[in-house]
Amino acid sequence: MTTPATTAAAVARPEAPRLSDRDGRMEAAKAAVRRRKRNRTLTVRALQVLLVVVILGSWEIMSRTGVLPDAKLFYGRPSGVAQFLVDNRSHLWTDALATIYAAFLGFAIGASSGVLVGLLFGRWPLLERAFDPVMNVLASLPRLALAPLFLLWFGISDTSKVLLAVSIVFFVVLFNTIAGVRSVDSELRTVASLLGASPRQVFIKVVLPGAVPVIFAALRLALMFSMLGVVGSEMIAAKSGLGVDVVTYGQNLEPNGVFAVLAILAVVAALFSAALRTLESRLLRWMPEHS
Amino acid sequence: MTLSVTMRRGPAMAPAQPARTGLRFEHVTHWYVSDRDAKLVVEDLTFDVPDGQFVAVVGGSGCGKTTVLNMVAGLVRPTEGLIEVRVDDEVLTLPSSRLGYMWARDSLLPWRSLRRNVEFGLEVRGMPKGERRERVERYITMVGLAGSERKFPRQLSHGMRQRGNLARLLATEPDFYLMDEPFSALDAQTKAAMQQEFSQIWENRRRTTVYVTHDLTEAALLADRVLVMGTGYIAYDIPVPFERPRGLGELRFTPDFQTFDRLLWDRLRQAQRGERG
Repeated sequence: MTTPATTAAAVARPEAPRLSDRDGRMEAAKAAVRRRKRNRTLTVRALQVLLVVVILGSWEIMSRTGVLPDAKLFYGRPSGVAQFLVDNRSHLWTDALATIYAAFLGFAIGASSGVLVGLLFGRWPLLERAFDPVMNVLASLPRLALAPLFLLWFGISDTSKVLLAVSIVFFVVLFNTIAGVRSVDSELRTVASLLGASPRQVFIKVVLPGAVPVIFAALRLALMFSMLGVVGSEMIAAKSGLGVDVVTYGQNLEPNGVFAVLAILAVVAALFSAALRTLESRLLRWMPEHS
Repeated sequence: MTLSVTMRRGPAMAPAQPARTGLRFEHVTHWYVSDRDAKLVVEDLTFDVPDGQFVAVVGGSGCGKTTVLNMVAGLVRPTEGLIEVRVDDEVLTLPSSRLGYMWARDSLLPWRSLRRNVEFGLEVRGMPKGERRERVERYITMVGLAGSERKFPRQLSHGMRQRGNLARLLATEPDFYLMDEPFSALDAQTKAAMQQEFSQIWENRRRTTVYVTHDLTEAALLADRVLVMGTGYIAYDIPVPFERPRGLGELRFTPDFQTFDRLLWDRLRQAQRGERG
């Protein structure tokens, strides 16, 4: 048995929104979307943290319980790595600076010369075709094998490290710059020259900005390669640097030390990459993924 | 976005004393040569476009109409024959920046804002910044894009980008308009609006125009004369009988227009069968 009153309550609908309340409803809709987005971001962050905790936690546990045999000599453990970082902080700091300095220099020299030569080749394709065979042979060499030569010529020095990094970075950036120049829509060049731009203006105002996205993608790669070159060179022979440390700790059966160095390298690489991304999003404001 | 308000003729809008222009094709033939093959694209074209005439070139795909336009622009060199583009008594060396070109595909530079795109032609000519800003502003307003100056092309709809292309073409105040299906990729309503606006802009300037289109109705609405192409040649040369200024919205529904539109369709069919007038 339902009384008329309860029936009325059951079918009561929310009042039809008044037109004057449009702004309020719009704000509510925006807030709801924002809330959903924020919740999603929080979930993702939580999952990411959880994953890291699980990996490090199980490593720690397996190391302590003996699931990993002779863990102290071969596998280390997160708490040990942390301890190692604290105990050797001044030594690691000095060596990290040496590596960062060389990697940055290698990146700066290799990338700027790569972009420059790439643009020259883009501007004068005949030049590119002339150099093509030489460049291809050099680029397909495993560059780490050049380390002994650099050591022979420049001794155990920063120059050797930096040059090895340059020899890798240069070609990565060079080939991508050429590709970037080629990727520019030929219709845009035609439009520009029909509008009265000289070949030089077409290059500077159309080709160059058009190639920037591809060049930037190469620069991000180049940073990684610069680290690879420097650390690789240090592993072969150097006075100081994280590459020297990683070899020493490995040979001394100090896995915590090796992992400590890897952790530092990871942090450095992440910082480099973040700096580059900031610059990129400023320059590429016009692209959808950077707005 | 109507132009009725902005199209007032004031002292600022009046173009400088326009030059007398014209163009002439004399026995023009073009072979498209690829690695293995050569194809006859157009053969023995002869026609004249007098000062201030709006010529539409129509025809099926592959008939060579875009090649005709590209030859006028100097993007394609004729294999044989003579093309003469004149401004007053001067014969232009092609390509020339006194010709304004507009494509079907929008070709704004994606890294430049609308304003910086429209001013590109003036910038490369070295016009001082203040002067070019002022001029660019005027043309952006004319095509109905006032307020979007700082937007990048990706933030504009397709129709707005084509308006931007039109503003860029107008901004350099060229002596000729060369247009290759400029409105063909637009939705029907935007297209009709842009045809109307362009028609008004054109009637205020009357620059010699070559307008390539596959849309016969568009040709009839805009042009003074329609060249109907068969494969590689001009099959029919048809004057358009409608007076200017034209109100396209009305014109397209009049019986006279529909009769003319039908005539064009018949001529195109005949041209594609290989007949010529």
